Amino acid sequence: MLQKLTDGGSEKAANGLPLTAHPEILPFDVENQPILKSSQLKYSYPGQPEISFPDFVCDRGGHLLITGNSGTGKTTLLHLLSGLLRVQKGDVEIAGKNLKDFSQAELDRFRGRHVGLVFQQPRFISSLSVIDNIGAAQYFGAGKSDRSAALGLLESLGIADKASKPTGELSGGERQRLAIARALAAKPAVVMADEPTSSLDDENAELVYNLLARESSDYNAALVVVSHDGRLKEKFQNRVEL
Amino acid sequence: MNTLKISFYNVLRKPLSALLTIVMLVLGTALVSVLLQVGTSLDEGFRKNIKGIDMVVGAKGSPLGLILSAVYQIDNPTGNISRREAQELSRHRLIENTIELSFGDSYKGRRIVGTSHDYPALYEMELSEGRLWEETFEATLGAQVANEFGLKVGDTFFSAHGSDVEAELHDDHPFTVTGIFEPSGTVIDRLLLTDQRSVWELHPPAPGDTLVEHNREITAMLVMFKNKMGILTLPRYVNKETSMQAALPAIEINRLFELFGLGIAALRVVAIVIMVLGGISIFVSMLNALKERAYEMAIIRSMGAMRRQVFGMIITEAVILGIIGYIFGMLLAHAGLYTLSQTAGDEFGIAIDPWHIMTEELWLSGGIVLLCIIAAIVPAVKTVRMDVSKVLSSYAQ
Repeated sequence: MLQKLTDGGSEKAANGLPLTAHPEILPFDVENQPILKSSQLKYSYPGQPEISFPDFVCDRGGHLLITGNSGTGKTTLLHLLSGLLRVQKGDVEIAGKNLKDFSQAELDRFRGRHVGLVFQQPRFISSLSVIDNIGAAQYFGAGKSDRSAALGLLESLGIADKASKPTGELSGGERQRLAIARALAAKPAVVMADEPTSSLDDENAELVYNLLARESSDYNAALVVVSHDGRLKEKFQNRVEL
Repeated sequence: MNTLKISFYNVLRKPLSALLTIVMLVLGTALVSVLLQVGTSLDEGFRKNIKGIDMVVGAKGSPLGLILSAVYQIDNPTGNISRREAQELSRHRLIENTIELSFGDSYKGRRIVGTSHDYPALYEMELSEGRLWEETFEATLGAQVANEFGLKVGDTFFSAHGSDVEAELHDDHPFTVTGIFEPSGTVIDRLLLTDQRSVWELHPPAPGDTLVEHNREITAMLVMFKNKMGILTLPRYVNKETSMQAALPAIEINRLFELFGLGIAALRVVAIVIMVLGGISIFVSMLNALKERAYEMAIIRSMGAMRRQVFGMIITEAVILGIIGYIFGMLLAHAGLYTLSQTAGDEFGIAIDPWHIMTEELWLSGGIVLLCIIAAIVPAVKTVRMDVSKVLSSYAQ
């Protein structure tokens, strides 16, 4: 699924690691366009050295793991890919749309519609109930909320019985599930997860990964996970190392 | 689910802080509303009762006291005047018409006024039943008096000397009710009108005095001028050349309202200060919540909310508080006015319609909403200016 786009096989990424994938030119017809494409992406925080990211693509419905040790800019990359950070250099394309072309408001809309985000710390709108948190994600993402769809989502994640509870009453595992449900609420084309398993024990890490993989497949969403969690490496055929 | 609903739940999240803000807005609104209503009712009530009365003539003393006693039937009269002197004055070429008033007795605290049929005619009174008084010891009652004491046409009652409820009864001369007026919102609603002769008969002159009609005393005389020229010359003439005092109701009431006005203005400042405190309470609680809400707002942005939606949500929260404060403030104010209308009308003959909403009160809603929006602008701007990526990363550690 994953192909790394490089100018040549011998070239090295900015972090000095060799790029192992073969250079290939992707077909650019609309149907088979990759859902996510990053090229020549660089980012620098004020007063800090520039971080360069390797080029990569992720197909529709594909799974991609982006790994790297702390400080290699994993979260920065995820925020660039999801439009939470504006691209400074290089390009990020989602479903053929270059994020650079969007205004801030368009970018917010686009992210809400096409990108579902899962953060390491699952946090919610605490004044809203579990199902209303899904409703809010549907509203901001798709423009309107759909209670039965939200309930279906909670059901498939096994937390439908908590639908009307405040999010503060959920256990850690339930919060992780709700975070996944929220990411999928607006039926995005791609789910991006930032260290979804790092703070979990083996059993729960496995569970969360399985849920992420299963649910994003069920919703025809590509899955991009950014993590330093070694346990995930064997789960993904397609990996990018920062 | 939409931003309005989220704003609403966000308001509910901090119920105590919301309650504090709402209480201040409610009190401010209620005070402003009551001041508007009472101020206007007093003003209207007082001016309504002046009707066509250009000047009041009575015994020397406080001119305001004379107006309050003769026009509004509130204060005690300043004394009596000679009827003959009053009638001489009424033949003055600048005077169109006069109405003599003789009072001093009461029925259960309500004044009995001896006068002519011109007096109810001045206020365009209509009878709801019966007829006007004709003979001595016949009385026609204001609607409020009849209603309060359950008096009907044909009933009889005894008057009491003075205006105290406990005063000595004139129990040898019963009055008969001949008619009852329609409610008018004027001073007559609270009066029992009778013929002047009834009052004189209850108070026979001391032995030795001649019982000549024109030698009698009256309490006051209401004067209507032929033209407004009278204002320039007549009061001065009366005050200088007669033993009587003349007072101009319009001028005295304006003086009274200057005094009222000071009090009302001071209370209005208090009301506005309370409302502004409500606004400050919104401002402070929102600024305090800024940090703990930053992550949630970042989450909302990550879900696709645009800056203007987040901005709108925060402003909406303040507006919800403002609207709740306004609605409950108005309810409180008008419930208070309802209570007041049950008592103030009795005391001052001023009609307050507690369910009437003034235009100024509608403007007040706009003012409160604006105040809340202003209070929320800085916290809202700060929230939308935050770096979503930074906030999300900082919590991930």
